[in-house]
Amino acid sequence: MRINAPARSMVIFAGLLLVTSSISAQGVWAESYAQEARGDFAAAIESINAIINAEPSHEFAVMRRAWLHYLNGQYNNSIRDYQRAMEINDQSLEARLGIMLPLLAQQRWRQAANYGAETIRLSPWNYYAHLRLMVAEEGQRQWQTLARHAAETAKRYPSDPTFLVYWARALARQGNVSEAAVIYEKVLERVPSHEEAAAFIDEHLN
Amino acid sequence: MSPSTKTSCLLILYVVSPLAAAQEAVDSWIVATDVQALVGSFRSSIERDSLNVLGFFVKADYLEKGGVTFGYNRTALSFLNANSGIDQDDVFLSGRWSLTPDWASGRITVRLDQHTISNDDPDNGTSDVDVIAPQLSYQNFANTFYVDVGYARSNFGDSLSLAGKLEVTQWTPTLGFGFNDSYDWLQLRGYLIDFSNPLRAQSLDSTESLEVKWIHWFDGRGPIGIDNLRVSALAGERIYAVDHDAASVYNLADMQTGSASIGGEWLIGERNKLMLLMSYEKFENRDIGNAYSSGSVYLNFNHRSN
Repeated sequence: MRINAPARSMVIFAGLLLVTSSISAQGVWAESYAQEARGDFAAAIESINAIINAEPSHEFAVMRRAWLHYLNGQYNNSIRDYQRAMEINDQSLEARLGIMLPLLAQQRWRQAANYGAETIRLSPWNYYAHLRLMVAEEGQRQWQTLARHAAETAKRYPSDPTFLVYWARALARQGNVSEAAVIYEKVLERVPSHEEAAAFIDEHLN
Repeated sequence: MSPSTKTSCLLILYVVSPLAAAQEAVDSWIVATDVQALVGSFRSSIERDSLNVLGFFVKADYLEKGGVTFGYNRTALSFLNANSGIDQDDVFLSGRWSLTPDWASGRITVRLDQHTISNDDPDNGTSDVDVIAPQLSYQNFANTFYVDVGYARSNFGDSLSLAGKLEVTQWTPTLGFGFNDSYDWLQLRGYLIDFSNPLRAQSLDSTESLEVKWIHWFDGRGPIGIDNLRVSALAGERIYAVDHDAASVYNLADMQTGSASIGGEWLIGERNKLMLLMSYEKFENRDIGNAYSSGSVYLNFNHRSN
C-alpha cells in the first residue's frame, strides 16, 4: 500500500506526538518520585494531578495520589482517592490496604477494620491486612481479640517480630505478665535491640 | 462426601479461619446497653430520706461517625414524712455526629440531648421538665486534649405554690487533658447556671461551680482486678444542673454545695464493664434553712453487642 506524502507527514507527526507525550509522562512520574523523596508531597501531588486531569480513570495515578495525600496529612483526600481507586478496580487489594492508613490516622478504627476484613476475605493471610487490623484492635482496646489474632497470625509468620509484639502487648494489657514476658523474649531473639521488649523484660523479670 | 464438596468445605475453612481470628472488629454498628442503679440516703435533712434510681441506656453507633442513644430512668425520692415521696420518669434521647476534618487533627463531635421528665410532685414545680442540651466537642488524635462547650435549656412545669415560670439556662465549658501515655485523664468542667425566676431557685439568679474528674487506667490489671480508678469533686454551688456525662438532670435536688466521689471500673471479658461509684454530696435548702448531705452507691453494667 502506498501512502501519499501528506498522509505520511500526518503519521510521522502523530508518532512524534506519542513519543513526546510518553517522554513527558515519564518525566512527570520521575518528577513526582523525586518530589516525594525530597518530602515535597504537595508538589508531587500537583505533578500527578496533571496525569489524572488528562485521564481521570488512571488507576495507578489515583492510587499514587491517594498515597501522597496520606503522606501530606490530607487524610480525607487520601480516603476519597482510595475509594475512587476501588471504583476503578473493585478487585484491588492495594486500595483496600491503602485506605486503612488514613482511616487509622484519623482513629476511625472500625471503618479501617472493615476494609481489613474485606481484604482478608479476598486474601486470607495477607500480611498488611492483619497488621493494620491489629492496629485497629489496639485502638479499640480489644485486648483479648488482639491477643488471639496476633497469636494466630504469628503462627503464619513465625520469624516476624511485629505480630509477637502485638501479642505480648495484648497479654500485658490483660495483666498476663508471665506469658507476655515469654513472648517479649521471643521478640528479643529476633530483634535484640527492641526497646519495648527489653524494657518489659527489665521491669518484670530482672 | 464428594471431592468437590470436600474441596468447598476446605475452601470455606481456609477463608473463614483468618477472618475468625479477627471477627470481632468487622461490624459497622455497635450496640451497647447500660443498666444502672443508684441507692442513696440523706443525713441531717429535715425533709428527705432516701433516693433510688433504676434505669437503662441503649446506644447504637455506626462506625466512628455517629450514633443515637435512648434512655429511661425511674427515680424514687422518699421523704421523712411517712407515705410521701416523688416518683419520676426521665426519658432521654440523644444523637451525635463526628467529623474529622484534616485541619483539626482530631475529632469534632456535635451532640444533641433531650430529656422529658414527669413526676408526681404534688406541687408540680419539679415536674413537666423539658431539657434540650446541645454540645460541641473536640478531642485531638493524640488524646492529650479535649474541649467542649455544652449548653442546656430546661423548662420546668408551673408550681402550685411559687408563682412564675422557671427556665434554666446552663453553660458548661469543659477542658480535658490526657497524660502519662494516656494512662491518666483530667477533666475540668464549669457549670454556669442562670435562672429566670429566683423565687423558684432558692432566691438565686445564678450559680457557679467547678467539677474536677480524674481517671487513672492501670497497666494490666490494678488492685482487685480494677481497670480504672476514678475520682471526682465539685466545688461551688449548683442547682438544676444537667450532667452531659451522666445524661441526668438534677431537677429534684436542692442546691449542691459540694460533692466528692470515688469508684472504679472492671472489665468482664471484652464486651462487659462494671462500674461502681460511691458519692458524698452536700446540699442546702435555703428556703427552709436546712444544710444536709447524702451518701450514695452507683452501679452500672455495660454490655457491648460486638
